[in-house]
Amino acid sequence: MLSGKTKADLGVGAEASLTPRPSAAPRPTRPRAGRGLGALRRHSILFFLLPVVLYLPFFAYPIGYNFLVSLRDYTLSSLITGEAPFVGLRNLSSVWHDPIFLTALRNTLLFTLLSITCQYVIGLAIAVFFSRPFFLSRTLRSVIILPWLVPGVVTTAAWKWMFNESNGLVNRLLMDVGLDPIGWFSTSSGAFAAVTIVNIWTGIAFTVVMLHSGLQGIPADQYEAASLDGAGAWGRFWHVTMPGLRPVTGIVIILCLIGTLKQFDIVWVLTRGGPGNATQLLSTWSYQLSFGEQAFGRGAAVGDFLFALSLLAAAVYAIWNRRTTR
Amino acid sequence: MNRRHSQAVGRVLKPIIGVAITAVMLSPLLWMISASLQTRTQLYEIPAHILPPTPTLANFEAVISTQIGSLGTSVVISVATAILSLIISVPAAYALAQRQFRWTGTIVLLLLITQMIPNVMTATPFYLMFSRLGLVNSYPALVLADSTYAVPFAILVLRAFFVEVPAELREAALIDGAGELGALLRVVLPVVRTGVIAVGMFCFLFAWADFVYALTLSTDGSVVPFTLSIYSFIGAQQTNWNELMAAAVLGIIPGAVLLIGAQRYIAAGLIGGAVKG
Amino acid sequence: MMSLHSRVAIPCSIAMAAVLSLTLAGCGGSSEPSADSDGKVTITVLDSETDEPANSATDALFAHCASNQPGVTIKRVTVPAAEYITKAVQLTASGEAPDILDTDGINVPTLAQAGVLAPIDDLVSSDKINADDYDEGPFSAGSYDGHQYAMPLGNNGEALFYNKTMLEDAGIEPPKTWADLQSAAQELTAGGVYGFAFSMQPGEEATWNWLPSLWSNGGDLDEVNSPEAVEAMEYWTGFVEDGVSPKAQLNLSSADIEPAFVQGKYAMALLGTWTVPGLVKDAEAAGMEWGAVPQPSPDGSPSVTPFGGAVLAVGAKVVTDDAKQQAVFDCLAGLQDSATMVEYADSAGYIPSYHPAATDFLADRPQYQAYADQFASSKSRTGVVGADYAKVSQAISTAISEVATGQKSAQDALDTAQAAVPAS
Repeated sequence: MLSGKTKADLGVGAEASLTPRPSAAPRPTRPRAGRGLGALRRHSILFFLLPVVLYLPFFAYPIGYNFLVSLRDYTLSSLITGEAPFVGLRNLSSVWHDPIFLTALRNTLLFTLLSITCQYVIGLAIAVFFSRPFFLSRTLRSVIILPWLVPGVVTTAAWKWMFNESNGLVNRLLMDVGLDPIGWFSTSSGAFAAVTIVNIWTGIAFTVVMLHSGLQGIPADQYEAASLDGAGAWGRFWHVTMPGLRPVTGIVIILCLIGTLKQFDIVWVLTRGGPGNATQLLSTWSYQLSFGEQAFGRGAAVGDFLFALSLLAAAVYAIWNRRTTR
Repeated sequence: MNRRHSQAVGRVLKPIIGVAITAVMLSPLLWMISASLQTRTQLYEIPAHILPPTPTLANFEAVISTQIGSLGTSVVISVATAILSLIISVPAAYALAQRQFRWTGTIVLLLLITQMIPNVMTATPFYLMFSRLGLVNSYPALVLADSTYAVPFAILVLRAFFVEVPAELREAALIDGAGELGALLRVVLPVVRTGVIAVGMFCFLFAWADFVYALTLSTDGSVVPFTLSIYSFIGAQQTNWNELMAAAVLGIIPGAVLLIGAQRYIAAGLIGGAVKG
Repeated sequence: MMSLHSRVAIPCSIAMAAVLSLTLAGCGGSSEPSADSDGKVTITVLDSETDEPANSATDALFAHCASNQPGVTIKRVTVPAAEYITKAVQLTASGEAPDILDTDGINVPTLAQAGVLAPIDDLVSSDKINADDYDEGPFSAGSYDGHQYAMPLGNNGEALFYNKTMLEDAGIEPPKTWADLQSAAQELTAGGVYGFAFSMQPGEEATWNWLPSLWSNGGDLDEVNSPEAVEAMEYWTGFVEDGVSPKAQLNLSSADIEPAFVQGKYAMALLGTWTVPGLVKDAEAAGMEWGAVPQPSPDGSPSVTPFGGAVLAVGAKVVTDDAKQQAVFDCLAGLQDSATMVEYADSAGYIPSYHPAATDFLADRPQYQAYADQFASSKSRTGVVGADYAKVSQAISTAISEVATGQKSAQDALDTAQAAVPAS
């Protein structure tokens, strides 16, 4: 990615930035790019990217590996013999034409859309609620992110128990208030609701923390100015809070999006994609093919589709980001 | 209703609503605590017991000796992951924030891409990579793998923090003769201190929750993080829910300690006193 | 490692094996004699008995090999059941192949096909191991592609348990036929009690519980959309549709059903061998009386049930080393001892596969008799579809829950499932 020339520049720049230079003191107030010391400084900042560039192999390798496996007929025997015939796009075409593909794609999209929307709206509501200090607000706000401290595998197991139709807590509480118990895992819609609820819940703590942090960054005088202009609570929210949160919102949404698209643990522990394929996502199907049926090539091919979907989402984010920040 | 009256109502109502919201958010944890104090039979009774009918500490006695060591292992791995992730991300985020490189978008996108494949799928290639490096069954393997969760997140979030720092602060430092590194360490970083600590804590949590990499990269029982040790309660035929929940409750403790310690940083938000207002 | 993995299964380690295949394949071919000058041999055992007391029971079992043969030491490697196949392949690929594989019988074809196992035809045709000492179903679970790869160790299964008081109060005899079970379940469903509960949890457990209906009705896994199969599916899911079985069982394991059965929430329940120790204990504490019978069949003839349980197989490389082969074969043959097997089965949650041991075992443990009655007519799940069983089983499990939740008709769901069956 970096040419030899750029690397050389990095070296110089690094030196420049590490060595104090008294001679540099009388400088123009705005360092200008491309001229003398300014040029050195301009490049010195590239040095800061070195650690992450060195780290890139750890990111790139798994993706490349997955892609290569998806082009091969990779089976359990391949593991011992090392032979996995190249089959080109056959795995991709095979999963594309599988009836489960559409189901898994539709479920993945719906699951993601519902999760992101609810995570953001609920997270924002909680963050705004806790933004003004009141009795206990600091304590509660800290405690509310506790769920994050428990590994997801465990909280999901706890949820599974709570959603249990006969001796679970959720149905007991529903019946206590006079409602009918819900077939959380015995109906398609119940199971889909259950996995979505757990996923939303899992993401809220993160959303609250991020949005709270964003709210703190909005200067108080903006609210005062809006009030003087006659804006009510709603007006202040739409004209001050929301624009002020825009950068954080972008990050929150893209991170939740990616987390949800690849969500696997929750669904696997709760329903294993069932009943039928009612909660089958691309991620669970990919796992099922690879490790349930040892069809590693086809599993990786589903992974490729998931990856393409995420890429699309990231591209949309990048465009949105460019528009709003510049 | 006059203004003062409604304020008084708010003073009373807000804490009540706040507690209610928190209780709903924490319900699975509260249930875990309740379950950890019940016997196996009680757990299966219908209707479910909200509170343990005859609280017992037997489950904790059964699990405590096996869990302490693995909690320590998890703390070491998580702290190391947080430190490594910050070392990698702070300079990168700073650079990306200072200069709108033509390929800033590309770098950010590249980082995001790496987060898009389920970990179950990336665990195998990691194993391959680390076995070539001779790092399987070692702390570094888990720290390196876990930080791949954390680094892209940290860069994205830190960059947003750095962008908000007024350019004048950095420029003043440069004029005073500090290099970019000096400007970052001595002027910019203190301003976003709370943000950095919050991000570090998030990185800690990513590693803390990791299960898949632990399972894959640790094969001989020499490095057993908490998530892996808790797995042993999930038997081939039946799960010892009561003991599993007791172990999980033990696992909350280090996190809770961390949370209390870092509370003011999480609460403090984006920008500290230096440039406020 | 029993026949079912109803665990909260978490993604496991994947084909780490893949890994090794790339780096190490081909470098594990050496076959130096394992016995050194004083005739010492180390036998590596790969098993998945992670939890107690099965873990200690396995230790004790293989300790017999060491004490029977001077100079033999046993080294156990224990991995979670869900990871067994990949781990076995990984170790084999990396040159650290296990010598004895203590595993679920269902894994045999897959492991054999991948080249992890050595055939033991010589051993079973010698006088050391006699096929007549085992039930046919369990023994055939160790065969694949015309060769014998494993001998059965412990059997398990599911039998019909009933609440004695409830049946007596209603004047109902324990069911023998499908019609008996249907009408009994109908009558016993009242006042918050379900007549009959059985696990339909997605995955192997759902399929394995349905197979007796399929087989006893004359169907088989090569044609899962045959009229017999469709009828079996309608019969099986009908319990849920009629409301005599709890809908919750779509996500309950047999181990989850046992406590509620003891508490009187279900009048009858299909329970696995592994739940019996808990059942005996819980029922005694609750003062509840139960009985057990083999699973009903369409006409009351013996039901054809799937064999579940553990088998012992031999690693592929063992046969390249005479001293080790001798030691491994002697170890396996030596385990055929009633006292050894009874002690093991009791703690590990099985019924011994070895007939003389099973007789002794059942004499003191009548609670397992219903299972034992089924073994004679039991069948291997992998007999027809071999290494494709995992795929077919997954498709059937999906079909079961699709029909039970009303998403598809039995015919439609099984037509879809048939696509997973390899064309023969």
